[in-house]
Amino acid sequence: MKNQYLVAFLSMLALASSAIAQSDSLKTKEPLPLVVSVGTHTLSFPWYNKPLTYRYNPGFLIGTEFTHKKRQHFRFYQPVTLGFFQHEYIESGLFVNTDLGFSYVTGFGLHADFLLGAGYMHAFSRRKLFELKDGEYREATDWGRPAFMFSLAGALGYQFKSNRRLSFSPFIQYRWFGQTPFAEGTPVMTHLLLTVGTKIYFGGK
Amino acid sequence: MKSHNQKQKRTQRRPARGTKNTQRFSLRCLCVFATLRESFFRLPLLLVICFALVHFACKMNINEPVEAPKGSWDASLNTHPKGAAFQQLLDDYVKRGLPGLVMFVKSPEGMWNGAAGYARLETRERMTPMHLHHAASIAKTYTATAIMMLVDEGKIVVDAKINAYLPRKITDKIGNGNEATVRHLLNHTSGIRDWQNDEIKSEIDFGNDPYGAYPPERLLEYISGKPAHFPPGSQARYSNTNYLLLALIMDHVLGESHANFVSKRIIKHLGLENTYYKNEPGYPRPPGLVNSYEDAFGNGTLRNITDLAIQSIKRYWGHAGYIASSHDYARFIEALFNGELVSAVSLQEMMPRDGGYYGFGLYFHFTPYGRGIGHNGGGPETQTHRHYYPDSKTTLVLLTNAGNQGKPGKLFFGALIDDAVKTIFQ
Repeated sequence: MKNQYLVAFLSMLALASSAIAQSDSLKTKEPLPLVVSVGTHTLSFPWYNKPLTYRYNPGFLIGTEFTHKKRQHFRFYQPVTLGFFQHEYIESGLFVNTDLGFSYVTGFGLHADFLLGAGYMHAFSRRKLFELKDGEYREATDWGRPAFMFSLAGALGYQFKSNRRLSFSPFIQYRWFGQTPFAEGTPVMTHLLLTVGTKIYFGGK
Repeated sequence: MKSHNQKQKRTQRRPARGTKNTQRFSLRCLCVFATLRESFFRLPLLLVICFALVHFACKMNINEPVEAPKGSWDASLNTHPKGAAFQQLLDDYVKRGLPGLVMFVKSPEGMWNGAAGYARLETRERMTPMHLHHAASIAKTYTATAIMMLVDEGKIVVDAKINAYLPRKITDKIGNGNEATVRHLLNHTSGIRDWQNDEIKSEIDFGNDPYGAYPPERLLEYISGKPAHFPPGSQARYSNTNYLLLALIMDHVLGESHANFVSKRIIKHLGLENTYYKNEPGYPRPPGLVNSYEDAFGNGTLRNITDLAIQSIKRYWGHAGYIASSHDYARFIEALFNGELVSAVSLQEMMPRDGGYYGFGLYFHFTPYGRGIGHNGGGPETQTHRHYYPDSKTTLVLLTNAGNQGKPGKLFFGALIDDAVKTIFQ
């Protein structure tokens, strides 16, 4: 079972690498932005947002993105993201994810994005674990559980036009992702991440 | 940004010395590359280190101090000739993967109440017969009994529609709410949706907010406006909502919480000093309550969910939520069958029918040695078995502090109960 996830992840990486190699970003040697965001995490379905209001569970994302195609109002791009979240009662997770993103940019800088992605997650229990050894339960080391993740996200942002060395593009992103496997009887666990962040462009934009 | 001339001078200053220098130069380029990209690599690395530190430092500590059980079991009461065999059975199943077990047997041959394993794995506190366990659905027998006690008193009619006792603002919102009768609720033929097992939102909400408030109105909202599964009486389908509604019926008929009635007319009446439901001091964490463990991921590894178990039972009304010792669980079922709680007519009405699915809070347990009548319970926090075998006048109670998922579920319901029955009757 674990080999399947490894194969899937490596396949995804291979696809991502070949896609990245074709990206406009590398061809034009355009500086890659640093994308950071923080927010709150919950376990829920995308159509059920109420749990996001129950309590703050920290989520943090960091990464960059490669632009494949860019026109006046449209951009096709590929973010690569490293992230983690900590749900107070259930689990914490570290994941690496890549998306295929489509952005519509208005004339005055506002943009709306839609992203579809996949990745790998390593999840850790928030609670102590016990395993059976020689007929007795002893505390176990939590090495975590591997999982495949698939995601769907939407974002709204604003691109400041600047010729300075640094420019920013703040955004708010709503990301839903599925984690499989999760537990016996629950083959897929669904997560929501609501984050605010910014893209930092080095060398002016 | 260094100028081209400066770069040229730097390169010229470096003499070419053959293969070794080429290797050093390549290594230097890699370092430069790493340095140039440091803003990308260093931050994620810091993120990983911080996460690891936070994660490994911040496992939840669930083992809050709990008072020891009240009293201890008098071993001289263990008169059953198969006591050693019962103890061996429990010890074997603990070795196979159930963290803690309690068993109570009473038959014409004698009585035996024993335990094996641990009530708390963290502190290695040994399980005893006096430790308290979550009932899970065994609670339904108490609720059905309380309803039939009110039937005996003429306050409830079993074949009356539930909207005769509940306000329309409740029954109008539930599929079959104005068609189902009290009988349909009692024997799970109402068709009404299960707020817990049919509606995943209920578990999403609880998993995200276990310390929130879950009054009955909120639980019924999960099934509000949704169609029932089938017309009342046409089929049978287990639904926790049935027993939640029965608890609400008692609240409205009595003009006070059904828990007051249960406390006075069942718990105190029978002298069940180790039974807790809503009103008893210490509820929901009375002295002697075991830690609860679940094999959530199906890999045989247990995790402590005691906090979630305690919060969970606060949202149970009528269909679960009792906590008791093995002896108290047994005393109740004996009292029921001895006619100490309901009339003979009501007791007969409660019995499951041949070929039927469910009586009133009771169903059959078929064994090669005869059938038992009672109820089991199972959830992430506990597994319970309580049956009375009328042919042999035997009471059997089995309790474990592991939930019904994964390996513990297969061990308890799939094997231990059968082996216990075999050990008793063979």
